[in-house]
Amino acid sequence: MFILPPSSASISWELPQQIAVARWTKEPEMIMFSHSASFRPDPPELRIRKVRNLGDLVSWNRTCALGFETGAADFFDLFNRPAFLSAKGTSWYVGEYSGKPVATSLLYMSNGVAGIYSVSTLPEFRGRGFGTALTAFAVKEGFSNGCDLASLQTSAVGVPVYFRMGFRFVFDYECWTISPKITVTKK
Amino acid sequence: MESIERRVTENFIETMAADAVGLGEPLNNLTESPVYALLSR
Repeated sequence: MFILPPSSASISWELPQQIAVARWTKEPEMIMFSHSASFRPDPPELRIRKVRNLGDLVSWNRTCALGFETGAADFFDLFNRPAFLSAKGTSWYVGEYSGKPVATSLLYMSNGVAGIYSVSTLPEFRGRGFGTALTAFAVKEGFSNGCDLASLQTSAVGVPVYFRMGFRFVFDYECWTISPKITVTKK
Repeated sequence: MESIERRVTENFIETMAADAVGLGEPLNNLTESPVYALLSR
């Protein structure tokens, strides 16, 4: 997958030669500054906690696979590795309802940016504000650790959800997903 | 002052690098990608 930010638009790569066999999507980039952040209270029935060990991570990956409706509960199992737990600047969060993991988010901090990833909610638990709560939790963790900017990529459907949280749209990434059989070379 | 575009795109790309490292894969493919090259200019 090639992900191109707006400033790359005028640069000529060989990538366009392969576009006929690529799947093209837009991913809206949305941001929130710490000085303008405000958050609603979390749903009282939801408990949010940090992933601490490999067992937690296995559960988190399974929840994420179901939340993203990948079609396979083991879709993200290749990420069940202890090495991820020691990754610098990365934290995983799970939302639990009656002790059952039902929602996820991930925080990756770099250069003062709190990047929010892997926000998912099991289909049967949607519409309760759990995804919003998992997002807000990760954002607050990022801000409390010195980040001044929160960032996430979403789908068009997600834009109004994040807009209501206080995020604003800044630009679209262009994402080209190319068959593994195709080789792309740089000029 | 660094642009917002650069900061958030770096964060986005670095998550993929973190995935690669966690999976024990070399970063060559990622660091040779057009986006990474753009960010490194």
